[in-house]
Amino acid sequence: MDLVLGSRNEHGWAVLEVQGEVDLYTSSQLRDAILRLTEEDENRIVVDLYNVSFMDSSGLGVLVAGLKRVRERGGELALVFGEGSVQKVFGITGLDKIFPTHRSVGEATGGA
Amino acid sequence: MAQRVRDRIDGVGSTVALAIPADPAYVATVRYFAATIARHEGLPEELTDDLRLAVSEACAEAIDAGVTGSIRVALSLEPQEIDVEVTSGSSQAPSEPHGLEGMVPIYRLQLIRALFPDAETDQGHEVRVVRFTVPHASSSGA
Repeated sequence: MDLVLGSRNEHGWAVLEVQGEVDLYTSSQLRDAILRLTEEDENRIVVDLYNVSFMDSSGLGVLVAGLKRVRERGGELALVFGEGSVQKVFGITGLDKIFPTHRSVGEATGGA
Repeated sequence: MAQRVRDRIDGVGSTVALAIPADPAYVATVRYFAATIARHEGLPEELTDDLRLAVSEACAEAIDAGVTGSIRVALSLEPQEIDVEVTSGSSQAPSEPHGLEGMVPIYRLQLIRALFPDAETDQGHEVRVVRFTVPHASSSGA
């Protein structure tokens, strides 16, 4: 099952909206989308995971690598997710302390 | 209904099993399988999510390790718990990480242990096994 990915600009941030399940099979699609944004010199990225119903450590690995990549360039990568399984996997791994996390895209971009 | 599902899928006592090719495209099938059984057994949704994640990680770990052939996921339905066993054949060369995820290590087994502390692995020469127990009793408030 493929991810549904879409990107837009909002208040100076590149917002990458993700829908579906992020696992070993689909995480390469997320990886490619983040790489594409960084190659377009987008250094402030919000990954909107609000409509992601499942994420495993493949997805976490892609996001951590993306965070490292944008921070090396002086940028930032923030996440948006709601309560549920995605929030739990970030909590278990402690990655919710590493990423800036928000409840909405507006909150993340300062447009709320 | 749970009994019908068991009979349909495996037909062997109280163990429900599914075998998939060691292919990332099939890992989602294991998640749906595990979640369906968990819901039939009355597990709360949060525990069902944990089971879904753990079996997905166990299958992905085997594929990461380069396992060929099939991966078997078996759920033994006990009165107080569900015993989970994910079995795969010996591994060949690990698949090469590429792009972004190659920049960071992935700790699948540690995540399974964080969800189910009794998780154990047996990575023998011929067979790799990940086992853990889902405490079923929590669904009845015990």
